[in-house]
Amino acid sequence: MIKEILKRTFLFAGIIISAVFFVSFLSVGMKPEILLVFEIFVLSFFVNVIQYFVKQVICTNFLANIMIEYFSVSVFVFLYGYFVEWFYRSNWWMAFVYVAVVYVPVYFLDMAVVKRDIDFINLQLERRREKDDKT
Amino acid sequence: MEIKTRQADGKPLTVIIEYPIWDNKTRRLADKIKALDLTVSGSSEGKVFQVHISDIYYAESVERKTFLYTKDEVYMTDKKLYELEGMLKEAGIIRISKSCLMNVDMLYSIRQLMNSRLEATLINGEKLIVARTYLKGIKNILKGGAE
Repeated sequence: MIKEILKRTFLFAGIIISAVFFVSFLSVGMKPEILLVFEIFVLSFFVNVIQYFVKQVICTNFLANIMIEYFSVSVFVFLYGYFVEWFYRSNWWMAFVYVAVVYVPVYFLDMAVVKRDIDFINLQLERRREKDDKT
Repeated sequence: MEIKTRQADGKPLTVIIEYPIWDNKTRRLADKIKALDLTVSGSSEGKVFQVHISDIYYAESVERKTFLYTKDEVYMTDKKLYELEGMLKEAGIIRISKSCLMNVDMLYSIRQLMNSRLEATLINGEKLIVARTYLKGIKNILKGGAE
């Protein structure tokens, strides 16, 4: 339930931000802060595309999967950030740091979710066996 | 849900479902029972057999060939894995990785390995690798059964 509420919260926040900045763009033109918001939306779209394709290719080894995903996304963020002038030549490595800041908590969160799912599955299997034994 | 069984000599196996309203749970139950009567043709040592879906432990695609694994036998089938997936979903045989379908009724337990892979142990002791993406599918089937 909390997960669903959080998901809806972020989605709703995204819609509010895009609507507010779109109206600002129409009224005051493309200011740097408005451009940044749109750049983040474009980045987010392409990162999601990358994540989708990485998951299609490799999916059994989660650690390998997440490392490949991390490097793919980092390289994309680096190139994209360089293109839209987020990073200077000297601090190109910041892309890897920013992506790691997002990916490390996601990794641990995913581990916790998977552990919870496994515990649930094993509990249901145990209950089913007990039920079968009784009948 | 109440389960009553009675022996009726000389009659074919008949399942009657009494329900107060036709809801998703009832529909799933009826679909599952119907699916149990389905068979898939598979060949072993040059002979063609009709393999009962309820006997299948898992199905695997190896080098573009699809194999059905029962308790003691392995059959090769002409069906593609995605075709089997569509046919067998209602019987609780679902995708667990790109190349494998598993019968959830044959699942004994699941555990996470050190390298973050997920390993399913079947009731006959066989072990299969489960991709995280498909873990939710197993959970949903067991959740449905527990409703």
